[in-house]
Amino acid sequence: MNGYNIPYHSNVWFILITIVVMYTLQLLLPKRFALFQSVLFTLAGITFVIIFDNTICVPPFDYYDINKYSSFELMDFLAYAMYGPISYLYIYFYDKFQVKGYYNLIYILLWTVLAILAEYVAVVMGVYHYKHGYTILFSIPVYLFVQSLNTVLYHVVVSSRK
Amino acid sequence: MILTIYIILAWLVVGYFIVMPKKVGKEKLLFIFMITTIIILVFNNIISLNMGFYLPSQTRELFISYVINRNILLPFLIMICLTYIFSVNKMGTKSAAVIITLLFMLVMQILGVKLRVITYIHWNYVLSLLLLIVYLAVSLLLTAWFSLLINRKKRSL
Repeated sequence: MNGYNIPYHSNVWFILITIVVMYTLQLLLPKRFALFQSVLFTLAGITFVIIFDNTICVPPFDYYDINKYSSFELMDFLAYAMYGPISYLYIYFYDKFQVKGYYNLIYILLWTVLAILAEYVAVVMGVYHYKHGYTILFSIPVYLFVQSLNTVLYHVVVSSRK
Repeated sequence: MILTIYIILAWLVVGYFIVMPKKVGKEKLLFIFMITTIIILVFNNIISLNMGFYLPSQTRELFISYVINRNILLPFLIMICLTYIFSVNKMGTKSAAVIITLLFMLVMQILGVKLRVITYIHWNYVLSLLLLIVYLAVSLLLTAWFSLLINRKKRSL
């Protein structure tokens, strides 16, 4: 099976370092939610990315590959797990800063910019390999949609309990 | 036409789930949806993408039908089943919910094959049924664990 040539396994290092840093950050931050809510917010990020990736990165769309091979590997699952703390941190700071009204749009846009920058680094490190004319700009609506879903999730889970 | 059938089926299943009486909290329902989706997609990746035991259609209309089955029909059917399991006390009702859900999901698989949404290569309906049992069992176990987390929080309040 011929895979992508990724120097120094940079994709593996990127995923492992991101996972360690992000999950450590999630654990070290002062507690704002109950454990089951934290589990739910972390799972949300993994669920959203796994749905999108398994829809647009497999044939007939097949817009990108993850890591070295087109097939599914442990490292691909870890790449999905990377998104868990991102979703958690999005909701964590949303709650901390009590984002309301028009600031919702600014908050979502800000996180979309951060996500695009993170994706760009992931592409450079060899985690994602675009195909069939896909560019990073196509990810913008995906992130806008996913961050909006995270916002809805927060209101469904947290706001109703306050 | 096939996509229309799947959209109607998804509407019916989601509609049933919305109107059905629920004694299960929304956090638990969200957890069931998320964990079921993750389990289904990971198993799909290993069995279909890696091993090639069954393959989804390569035409866009049929692939979207496959995605509706994978990401809406199956998770919502499991959510309906687990809602019954966690809501009723009678063992008979729980067993009936499991059997009816498994049959319904198997019918979905048969429909998928007949409509060429998926093609079995080294796969059959018995293996499909076993896989559906695994989905249901793992979802049930993980949801039971999640219920413990919720109850722990309630006890500490």
